[in-house]
Amino acid sequence: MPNTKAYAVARSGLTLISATPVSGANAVNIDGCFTSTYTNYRIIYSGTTNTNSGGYDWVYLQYRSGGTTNTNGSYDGYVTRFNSASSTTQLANYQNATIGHELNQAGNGMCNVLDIFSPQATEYTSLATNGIIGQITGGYNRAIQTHGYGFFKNTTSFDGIRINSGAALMTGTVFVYGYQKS
Amino acid sequence: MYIICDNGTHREMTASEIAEQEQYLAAIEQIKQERELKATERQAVLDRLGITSEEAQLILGGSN
Repeated sequence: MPNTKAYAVARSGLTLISATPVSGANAVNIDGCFTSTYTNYRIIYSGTTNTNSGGYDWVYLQYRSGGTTNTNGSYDGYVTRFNSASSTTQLANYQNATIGHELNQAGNGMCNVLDIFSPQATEYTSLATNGIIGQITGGYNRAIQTHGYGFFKNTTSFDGIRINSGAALMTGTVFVYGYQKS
Repeated sequence: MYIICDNGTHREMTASEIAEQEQYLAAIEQIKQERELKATERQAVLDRLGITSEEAQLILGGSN
């Protein structure tokens, strides 16, 4: 008698689109990662940056279309940042920013998880991110936990990103995943 | 000199990319100054109240 039982196919929920190693760069472009195959995306960056001059070597996310970085002043958002050394929380907002969404500060051991919603569709694109940074050089001894939320207030379709660390040099890997639709 | 990892290839930024990066750094500097000014104003309020930053955090619901 044949076995007629049906088995569910296991799915991870996420599909790896790209893994980009970065070694000593001020910025990293990842183009062509957003397509019509997926609506929402998860990006994981883990690595380090070489400086933390006063904690102001911030890391930002910028969107790209056709190889061009969008700097048209449509980035709104805010971040909350908890400092383990002083038990204080900083709040910061931004509106009409040209430099992108604020992710994190630079330092030793930096990781961010980003969820990006509808970047490829001609819809508004939103961002939620959590991150942690350890700062043990440059006169610091602290961990900083960061939560960030961003909204791009134009219905621009994007196919890529730039992660920009300004004057600091990033080393690590950027993973881009697509959320499966079914 | 600025280095960009362009879709996996590491190279020096082009002239237009450098100009873009310098605009970016100028914007970061402006944000830094605005936040430092806010921190100074915050400290002035704490000084007037005669409490420390940690005490203010306790009042506002912060904890360890």
